[in-house]
Amino acid sequence: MGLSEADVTKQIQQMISFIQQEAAEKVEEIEAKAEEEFNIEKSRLVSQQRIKIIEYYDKKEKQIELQQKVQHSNLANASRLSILKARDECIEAFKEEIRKKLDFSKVDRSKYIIILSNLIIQGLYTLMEPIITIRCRQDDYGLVQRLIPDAIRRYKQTVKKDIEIHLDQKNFLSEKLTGGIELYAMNDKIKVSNTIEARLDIIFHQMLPEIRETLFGTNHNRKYYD
Amino acid sequence: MLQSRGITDLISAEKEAQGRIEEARKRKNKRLKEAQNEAKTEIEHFKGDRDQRYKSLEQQQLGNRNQMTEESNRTTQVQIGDLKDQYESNKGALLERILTLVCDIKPESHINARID
Repeated sequence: MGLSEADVTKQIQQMISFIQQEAAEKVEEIEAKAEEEFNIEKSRLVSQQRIKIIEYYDKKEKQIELQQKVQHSNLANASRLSILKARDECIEAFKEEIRKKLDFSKVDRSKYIIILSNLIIQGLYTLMEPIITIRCRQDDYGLVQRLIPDAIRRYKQTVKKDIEIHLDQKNFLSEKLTGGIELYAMNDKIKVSNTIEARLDIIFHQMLPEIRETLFGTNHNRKYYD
Repeated sequence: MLQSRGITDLISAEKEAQGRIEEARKRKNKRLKEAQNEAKTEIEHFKGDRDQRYKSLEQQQLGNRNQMTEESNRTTQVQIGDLKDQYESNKGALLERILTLVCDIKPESHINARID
């Protein structure tokens, strides 16, 4: 009639085995795929995040480096500035030292008289005006009065012109000055400041390069001298 | 009778097979989710290391900063000291010279105004 009982059973067994085998293969396939996808996904995520983290910390580390450079530069600048300031203070102190030594109007009277009369006549030569007003320190009033006639004489001798000199009785130069006079002409519109301080200012200012070099030595970084 | 028993056996074998495949799929999904978590842990570990590296660099820089400032100040003070010493030793002759220049006045009339 067909297959025997044994044959049927055998066939069914075979079919069952087949089904089981196929399933097992499929499961194996799925598990292999799972591992593969697991590894791919995990390393994708890790490297994605890694890149971000590396970027972030690299940037921050660069900032630290930059800060260090900025600080270094700031320190160098500050140092340079304090040295320049110290130099400047030395030069100011130097000028003050000189000024103190120029305060000899009471100590070395004869020297002061010569200087004062020269300052007067120099002022007259500078102004070349027929009417002059002289302003002096209150302490010097008497002395200047006595020196004026001689100054007029010298002026007339050299320039061959008449001159009229008034000594200011109301306004005086500050007591803090070390000496000298101020001369005015044309209704106080022209002024010549011939005080010892004024002379010191001009001379000191003109000599600054020499002063700097003598006090502190040549500047080896300097390139141009003309 | 035998046939129906055979067919039920087949059907249940099929069912079981499907079941196993389903389970395998479920395990696969679970594994994929684990990928996320494991990645997270690994990354956090990496970040921690990097952060530590950065922090120690920061500390080092802070220490350097103080040291640099101190050193710079010290050097500057030394240089200022040298400057002042130079000034003291060099000023003598120059001072006298300037004094002489200030006190040595030679009044001269303007060259155009001279009458010989």
